[in-house]
Amino acid sequence: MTITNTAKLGLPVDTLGEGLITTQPSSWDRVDQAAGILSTLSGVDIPNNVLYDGAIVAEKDTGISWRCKSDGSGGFTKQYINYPWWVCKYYSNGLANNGANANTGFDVFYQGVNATDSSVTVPTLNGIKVPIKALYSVCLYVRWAGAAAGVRLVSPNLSNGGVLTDWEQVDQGYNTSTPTGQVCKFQRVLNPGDFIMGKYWQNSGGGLSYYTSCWVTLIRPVP
Amino acid sequence: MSKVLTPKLKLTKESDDETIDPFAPNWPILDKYAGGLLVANGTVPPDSDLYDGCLVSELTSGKQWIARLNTGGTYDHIWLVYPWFAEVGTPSLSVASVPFTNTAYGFTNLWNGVNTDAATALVGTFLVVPIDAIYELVYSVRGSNPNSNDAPLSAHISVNSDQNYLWSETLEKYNLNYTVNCTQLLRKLKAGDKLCLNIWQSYGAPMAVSMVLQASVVCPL
Repeated sequence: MTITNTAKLGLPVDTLGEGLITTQPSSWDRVDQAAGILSTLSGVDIPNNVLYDGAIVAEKDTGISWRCKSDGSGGFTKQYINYPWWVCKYYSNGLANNGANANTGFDVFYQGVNATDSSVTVPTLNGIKVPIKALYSVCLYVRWAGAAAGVRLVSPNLSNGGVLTDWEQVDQGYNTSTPTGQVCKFQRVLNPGDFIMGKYWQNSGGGLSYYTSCWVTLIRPVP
Repeated sequence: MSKVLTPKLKLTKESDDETIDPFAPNWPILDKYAGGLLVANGTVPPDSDLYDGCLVSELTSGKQWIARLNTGGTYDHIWLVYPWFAEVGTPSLSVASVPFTNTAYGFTNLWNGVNTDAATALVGTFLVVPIDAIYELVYSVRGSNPNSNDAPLSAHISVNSDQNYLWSETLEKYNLNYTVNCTQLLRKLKAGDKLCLNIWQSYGAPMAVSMVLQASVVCPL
């Protein structure tokens, strides 16, 4: 009797005869167990002896799904397929002094998908923290109070490190008696722990208040 | 030896006499489910053909879903992929000059669509979204020739007639010829949510406006 095991499911194979005929029932169980897309709940791991290289797992409660990739030593890493994640936060008490940068986060959590205030908010800075390496879409809105001079500038501030590039900022003239609205949009691959804040600048001649909101969406996981 | 079946695929583990007997009934089952089930668009297989975790793909729509066994013994559809796009617009409408007071404006046309048509995308003049998902919304509003100082044109998405725009509106100052607002928003919507645009302008007289909204599913929920 020469026994080998299949690569993924570990099914026993006797290449020289029928010596493993009595193991067929357990093999059918194993085939059944591995069929389709495996499911679990967030925070509940499926045992490694149930997983196999290439198995797809989906969380019932979040919609997050991944492909299992063998690490070669009996464990598995997650290669995300779908990761629904979206956050909107806002800040209604902004004040930018004349000619000075105001770097601020967003103190109010409005809505989220697979995200809570505590899971995304960077303490003190109120930035929006992302969960996994992925391509993200960011929309940063600002509404300035009306004032009849100067320009208005809004740009993303990545991990409190300043403006990313000049062409990711939005410059615009003023409205006088009515607010000036600006939208800054960009997409970028971010790593776990990176966070988004806003940078606001104006030179109307005095301090100028602003409201701002930020909407961050995970577009596609990146391996 | 009695006949025993596996829980998901109903594979025969043991039959009445010899262990080898399960091959004949089991191969067709494995063949049937290899790569998941393929069905015609909009077709739902009978429960007897599904199992918990079964992947179902529609033939040409690109939609894929997971059959998830619920506590009632039937199956929920968990969308994995749902290609959907709608471009709706209104070529001509008149917006009164009422500063800071939103008025809702709907859409009269479906100009482009993926896995939708005018009859299902538009309910009245609202764009209605099909599933719970994160959507990307891109909208553009064009006002004609206000030629007046400090006369902004404001637009923002309204969901189920709300006014909670959270400062996501565009607010463009006048141009001599046309004032064009265009922006993008990604947000969570529920199946059946109704979208329109809220617009106001302060030119001092009615303004001719055209508008378009493009909506697409980014990620099913």
